[in-house]
Amino acid sequence: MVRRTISLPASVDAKVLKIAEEEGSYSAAVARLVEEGTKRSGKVDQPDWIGSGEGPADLSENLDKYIRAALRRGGRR
Amino acid sequence: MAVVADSTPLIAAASRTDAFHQLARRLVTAAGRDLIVPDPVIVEVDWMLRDRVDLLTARRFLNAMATGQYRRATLSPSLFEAARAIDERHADLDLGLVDASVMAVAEATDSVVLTFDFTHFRAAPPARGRAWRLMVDESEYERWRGRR
Repeated sequence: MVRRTISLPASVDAKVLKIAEEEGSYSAAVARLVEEGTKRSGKVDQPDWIGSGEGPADLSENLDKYIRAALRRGGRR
Repeated sequence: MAVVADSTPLIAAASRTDAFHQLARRLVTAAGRDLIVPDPVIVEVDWMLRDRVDLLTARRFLNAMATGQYRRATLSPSLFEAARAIDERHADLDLGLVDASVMAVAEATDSVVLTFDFTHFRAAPPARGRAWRLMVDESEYERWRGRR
């Protein structure tokens, strides 16, 4: 566990306090809410292959076209 | 709930310049370890990433598959036969082993399907039931086009 000092808007603090009353701990409520929020946003814990490279903008949309083109020029498959 | 992945969302997730990257990234992340990836899909994604994206991305993708970040579905003899039969049943669509393997695994595991290939998956419904349960449908998909 790490200890952090943070500032929250009063309105957010009130919301967390309400949840913490039900769950028994302010820190646990913050931790759970952040976990859920980051999971929904998909901005952390991202596997390294996701967004790793840059290909044509229509690669997934026209996958069959790219496969056929690769086969015509004797690609890997 | 288990989700069987087709190639298109995985390729879009890997390439940050893909028009549907943001949607794919969110869906793949949301599915997490519930994502099942049939081996033929892994082969197709690896091959296309090497051909049109880069080697590092392909290797990272394979590493994610090898280290259990997702669930691989190896085609057993019965799953392979199921995939072959699906391809044969919809011979006019020219599905091929990749799409047919996604369908066979989804049918065998009663899973949701994650695909952006709505044409094939709408045209080739499961033997039991009227349609595949899709993680994202056409209207939601179109809303995410080009979103950064």
